[in-house]
Amino acid sequence: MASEGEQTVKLVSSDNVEIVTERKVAERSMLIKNMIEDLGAPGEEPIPIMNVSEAVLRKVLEWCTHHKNDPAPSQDDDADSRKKTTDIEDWDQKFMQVDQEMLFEIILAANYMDIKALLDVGCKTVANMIKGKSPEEIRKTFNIQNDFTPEEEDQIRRENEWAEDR
Amino acid sequence: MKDLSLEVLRMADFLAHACVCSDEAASPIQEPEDEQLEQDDSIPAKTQRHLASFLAEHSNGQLTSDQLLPKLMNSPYINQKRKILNRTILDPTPSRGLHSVFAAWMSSHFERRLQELPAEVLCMIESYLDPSDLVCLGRSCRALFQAVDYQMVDLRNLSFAEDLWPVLRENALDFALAKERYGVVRRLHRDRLEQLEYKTRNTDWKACGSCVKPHPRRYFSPTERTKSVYERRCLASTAPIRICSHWTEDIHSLRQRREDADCEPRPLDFFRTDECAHVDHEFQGFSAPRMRDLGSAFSVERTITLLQTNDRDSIDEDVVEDVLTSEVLQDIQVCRHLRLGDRAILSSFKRRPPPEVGDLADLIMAAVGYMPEFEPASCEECGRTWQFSILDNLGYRQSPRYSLRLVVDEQIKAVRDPWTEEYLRKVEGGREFTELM
Repeated sequence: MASEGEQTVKLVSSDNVEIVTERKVAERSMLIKNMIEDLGAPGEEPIPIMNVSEAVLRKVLEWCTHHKNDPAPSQDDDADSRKKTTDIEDWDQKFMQVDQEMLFEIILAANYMDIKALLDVGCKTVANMIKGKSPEEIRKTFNIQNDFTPEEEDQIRRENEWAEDR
Repeated sequence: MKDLSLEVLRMADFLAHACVCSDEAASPIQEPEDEQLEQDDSIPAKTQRHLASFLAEHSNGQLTSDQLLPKLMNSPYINQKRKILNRTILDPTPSRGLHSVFAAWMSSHFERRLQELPAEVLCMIESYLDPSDLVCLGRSCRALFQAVDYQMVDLRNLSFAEDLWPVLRENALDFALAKERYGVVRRLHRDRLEQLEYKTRNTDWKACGSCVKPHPRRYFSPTERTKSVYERRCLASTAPIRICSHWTEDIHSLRQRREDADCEPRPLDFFRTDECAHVDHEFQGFSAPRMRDLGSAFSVERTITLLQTNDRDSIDEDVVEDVLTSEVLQDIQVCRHLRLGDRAILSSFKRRPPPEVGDLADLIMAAVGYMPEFEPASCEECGRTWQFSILDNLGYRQSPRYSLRLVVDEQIKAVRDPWTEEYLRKVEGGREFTELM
């Protein structure tokens, strides 16, 4: 039997494309890790990743490959211990230079596949896009429609009056 | 067959998700909120962690969020405030029919939007943002407004929390609040300017970056017209105001000054004054001009010391007349129309009758010795005011105890909008100034 490092697993994306990858890489995802443990016989049964399309899955696996040797996240990795900085590693920054749709897909995939570190990086990227922007600039950046009625806007203005200029 | 089952599974999964979403969207926000209020009026743990790390950041490394967290959790003040401050409740959006669910499903295959991310992911993103960012995020659309954590946005809770004051470094909270407020004010200002610029394009009007108002195009100098809206200033806000020969301000700089002051934590000396530091003033009759922010206007005050004496009752009209008409002082200009030697100045030397004794404060004043006060007077032409006053030098260790001074005060009503409009009307030559919108 091959050692654990060389074992491979088959992943099936939502559009039914089979991707073969190292077990170690795939196990960055807690979802897959648990599945492998449940299935017992890795490498034979393909693992369906239902909510993730091929392009996104490949992208996620690319990240996992780069980070496969990172120390495993500790179990009590709570918001407490997490540093509240938005600094991102250089490689991750380059990795996240994709269009917005892809970025959100990656975040969703990371959320679904339970890859905490990747989810963190994605959220930080989005947070950096929001930081320092005015409401209108946020709308432009994310292509959001302003769907407040004028009365609601008034109401909200009153609510945030601590921050409004007098 | 397998394909189909996968597809069905996915669709079912999506529909389940969409139903949850539409339920969330359709149910007004107050229902769960109210229930929570009755059962548990403390701030959720996530928010408390968030607040703690926000405060820790601003305590200059003196406290960690772990140290602050228990204080926040045990602060009854913060937990009570939650009841008082109510969040704006948006009208529920019209419930989504099957059609819109389908549309959402379609769009989910083509386009992902920020506001359509699941709540837990949005929460994570928010945990990386400052309160000022959250305010702006919440004001971009309805979905995000409901997603933003209100406890984090409304920092008034924190500033009321008396039991936190001893824990934090002096002013740390004030600094944090001021910084966030400044962040929001600047951004909303930018937003309003952009909206104005958008509304006034292709018209005879231009938005002024200082007044945050539209003015007719002719109120801008040709160079200002070519500038971006953030730097464009109208004639009124760039008109120089000469305070002394070394100090010139304009309306825009005064506005900026006020804005900066608003966004700073209150200084220890409550009245912030600025004074011209030029050496010349030491040798001139008038002291250096001091500028003070009165709220409605800026006052520029200059004083001239007329005489110094140890006997304050000896100061009467004859003495003052001698001083005012003396060779040294008589030609000093009080305003453009009046000199010190003029009759108008002398005739304003009138003592106020002492207040009737009856009040406790007056009794104390009488015991200490009543300090004579004088009526203020003003120039009929330009409205500049002056007032005689007697300064008690006790404690300053100057040899003559009392000095008689003339305090000349001019108010610049710069920051008030009517002032700008009035000025612009003058520029216009009497033509009417009308609002565009």
